Amino acid sequence: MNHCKEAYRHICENLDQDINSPQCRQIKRHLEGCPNCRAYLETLRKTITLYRVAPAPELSSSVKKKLLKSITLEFGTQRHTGKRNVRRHAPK
Amino acid sequence: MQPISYSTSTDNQLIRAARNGDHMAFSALVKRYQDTVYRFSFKVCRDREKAEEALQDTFVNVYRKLGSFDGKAKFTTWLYRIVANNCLMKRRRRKLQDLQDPLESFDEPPAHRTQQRHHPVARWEDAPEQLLLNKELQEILDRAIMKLPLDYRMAFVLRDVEGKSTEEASQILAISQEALKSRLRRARAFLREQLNPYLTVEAENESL
Repeated sequence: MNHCKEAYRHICENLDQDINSPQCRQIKRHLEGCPNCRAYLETLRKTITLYRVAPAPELSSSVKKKLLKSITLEFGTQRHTGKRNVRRHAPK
Repeated sequence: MQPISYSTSTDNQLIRAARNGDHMAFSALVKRYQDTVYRFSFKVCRDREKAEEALQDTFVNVYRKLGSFDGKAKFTTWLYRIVANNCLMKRRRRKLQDLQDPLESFDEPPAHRTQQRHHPVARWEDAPEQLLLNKELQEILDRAIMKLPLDYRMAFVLRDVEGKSTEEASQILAISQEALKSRLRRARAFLREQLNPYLTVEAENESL
């Protein structure tokens, strides 16, 4: 069995699981003896952390106003065309 | 019809009221979720203008499709699904990224991919997130994630950045949990490899 390959697959699938869960015990044993897989797990975690904590811009008040305006227009359009709610009535 | 409190009503109460023609109820839903939709869109497309466009398109579609929301899934799952569908439809229209190589090679551990089985996997900076104030790193993150095909990018953002469960992320993308796990595995490995040259630290005792 290729232990690194097995560990690699499970590291990726169970990254956010408790490493002490029964499913992960075998991987934990492998990680203890394999610096490459340990480094891989650690750098994978850091990758995720970077994307998780990277700042996203705030929605500006002008965009919020624009959004409400287009939604209000949509209310009018659907009232006019009678398409609102997509509730189809069975033909008589 | 009983008047409802827009700020304290549940999503389902607002949806019911909106379906009965209460525009204020729909506006309350928009206000409740506009930041969520915008942030998710931005994290997927890494571009303010495109995220704003996605925000508009999403809520117009939500309003149009409100009658088809059956309440079986959470409203937020349905909402994310509409955002994801918008992104996918735009991709199809623009025909971008379809020519990208598939990521099957990322099913292999890094040393196996490079045919260097005994080459050590590099260590990274101890707390790379502290470097996020550095604009260069943010650009590197943006460039790396934009190289991912959209299907993989959405799986990664939903599961790892937004923190959705495997079950919910797979419902949003309308794929099996196995397919979601596979995309996630490849996306994580691809991004890690993209960032590797920028974050690797030299081994101190390597030459001793």
